[in-house]
Amino acid sequence: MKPLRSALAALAFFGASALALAFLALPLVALLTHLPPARLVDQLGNPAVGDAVLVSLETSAIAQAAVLGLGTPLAYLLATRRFPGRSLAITAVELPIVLPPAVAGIGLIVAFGRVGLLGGTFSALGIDVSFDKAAVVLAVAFVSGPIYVRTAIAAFAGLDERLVMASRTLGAGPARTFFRVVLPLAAAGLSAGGALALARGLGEFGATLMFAGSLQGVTQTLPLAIYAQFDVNLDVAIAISALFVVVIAAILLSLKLTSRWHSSQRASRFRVAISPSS
Amino acid sequence: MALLTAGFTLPRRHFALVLELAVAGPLALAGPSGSGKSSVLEAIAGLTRPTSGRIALDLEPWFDSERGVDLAPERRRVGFVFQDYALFPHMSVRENVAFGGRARVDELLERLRIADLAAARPEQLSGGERQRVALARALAREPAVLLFDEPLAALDSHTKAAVRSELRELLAELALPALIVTHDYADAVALAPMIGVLSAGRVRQLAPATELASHPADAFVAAFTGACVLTGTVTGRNGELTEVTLPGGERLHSTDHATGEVDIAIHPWAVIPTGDETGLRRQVTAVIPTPGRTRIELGDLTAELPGASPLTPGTHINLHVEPTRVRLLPRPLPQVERSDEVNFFQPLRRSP
Repeated sequence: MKPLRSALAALAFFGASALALAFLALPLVALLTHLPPARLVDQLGNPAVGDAVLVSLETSAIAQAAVLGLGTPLAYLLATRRFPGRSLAITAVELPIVLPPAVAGIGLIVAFGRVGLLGGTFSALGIDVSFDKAAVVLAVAFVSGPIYVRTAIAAFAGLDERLVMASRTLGAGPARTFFRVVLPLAAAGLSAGGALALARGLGEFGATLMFAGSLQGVTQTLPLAIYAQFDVNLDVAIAISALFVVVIAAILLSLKLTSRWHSSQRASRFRVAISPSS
Repeated sequence: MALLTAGFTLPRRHFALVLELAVAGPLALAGPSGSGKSSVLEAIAGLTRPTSGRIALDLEPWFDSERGVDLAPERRRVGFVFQDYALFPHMSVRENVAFGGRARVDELLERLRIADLAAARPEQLSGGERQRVALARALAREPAVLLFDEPLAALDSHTKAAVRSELRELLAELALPALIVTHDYADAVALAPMIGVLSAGRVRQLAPATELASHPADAFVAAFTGACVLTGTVTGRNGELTEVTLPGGERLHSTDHATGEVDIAIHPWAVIPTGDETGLRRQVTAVIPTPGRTRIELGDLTAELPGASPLTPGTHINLHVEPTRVRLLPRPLPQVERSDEVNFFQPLRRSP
């Protein structure tokens, strides 16, 4: 009775797991197998695809640079300083991760759009960001930045505070301590956050569509091109989607490989540290 | 020799650390965990900010709450050896040492016998080796003051004895003000000629080890240095001896003068088993052989005898306690006493 019951339980457990995994994997497999490989590659020659690749690469590169450049100091401050309103600031960072893309789009419009909070300031300076590449960059940074900052906060907070203290007592000021000790030791966590943010930014759709529109060659990123081609030529939409699956999978896999490498580096410490002093 | 003076107040969770120290050579601050030892070092290094007070090296103020001086840690010339050594895991031994200063790297690697480990990463080193790297790195900074946080706590007992004597020699040789905090009284005795006993943020007594044992300022110091502390009441005096009655009615004698309620500090070596029926009577609770000696636990007392002992747990024995070695400490606890035997260290002022 008992062996039978545990066998059934195991079967149910594995069955549920297999079902869940199949459900998640099937659409991805379908994207890659719906068209014969040669046809799939062929579709990528469509000019709309080339334009979208360029727009996506350019806007993602600029957004990623801004996210790393501005997000790293913010994450370090939030991880290491205690100040009133810190929880509020962290919540503000986390909100865009979970907000519906439509809310992000509207938010961007009423903040930076022509009629928005900074619209007057921008137009006085002769800047009009909406329906321009700059709008795409803002939308991408708005949704990808929080993912990077959240991961970077965890990376900085996980650092051994004594190492920072040791650096200071050894004569290194805050800047030298940050670049020689803090950054190298947080590098694994920071690159993980960077990769996740890049993947999220490349896939940004809703906020970009609302705030930047979908102009081929100007603001039409890869996800927007999929949506545009969906009405015109389904094969092209499928080809871009398949390309996405491959690129994002590559980013996530490389992330896992680097984190495994880092943990194996760390594990080696315990193998050798036990021997007594000579 | 340079003189480090530190007098400051630093609030901790359960008490305020109030300290007055003048350090011109190796000085050990010993106390149980939670007594505020590490905070003393962090305040001197500039890693924690006292609420008030003054820290100075000779005439150079590092911290002065009245004059608004508070030098950043990198501008105080301290060599700080952390408890777990805090070596940079992403740098080799050589890079770790060079981080403190490039001028003397090779010399220090040679001197601390880690030259053959120069290319190794900290994770590949043993505890003793890590300690030498941490020391080399601290010295590469050309410090004017050395600070050690539990320098021996992370070592296994096998390594500890060797490192302890190395460290003592090095400290004597460097002739720098050095503050060593430790929870282990034996380590304190081994590393520094002067020991401050710290409890709940105050220095209870600052004196050489022999004096801490022979004339403890209070029951805490006596217990921390290894004495058993009993309580009793002074009931008379005959000739040179003060008679103290224990709560059970037994009597002890001491050459100390005291009246009223007292704490009685008795070190294990003052307790001697005797055939005489007049002494204290105790049951042996444990017999612990140590190298060359035997420690006999007797409930509220401990005796330490040379060689092996035929005693077994459970037997009752009579004890003679040498009156010249029985210290009577008035209660309540006295204020911190200034040591009469002043070396180059002394408290600047009595701690309240």
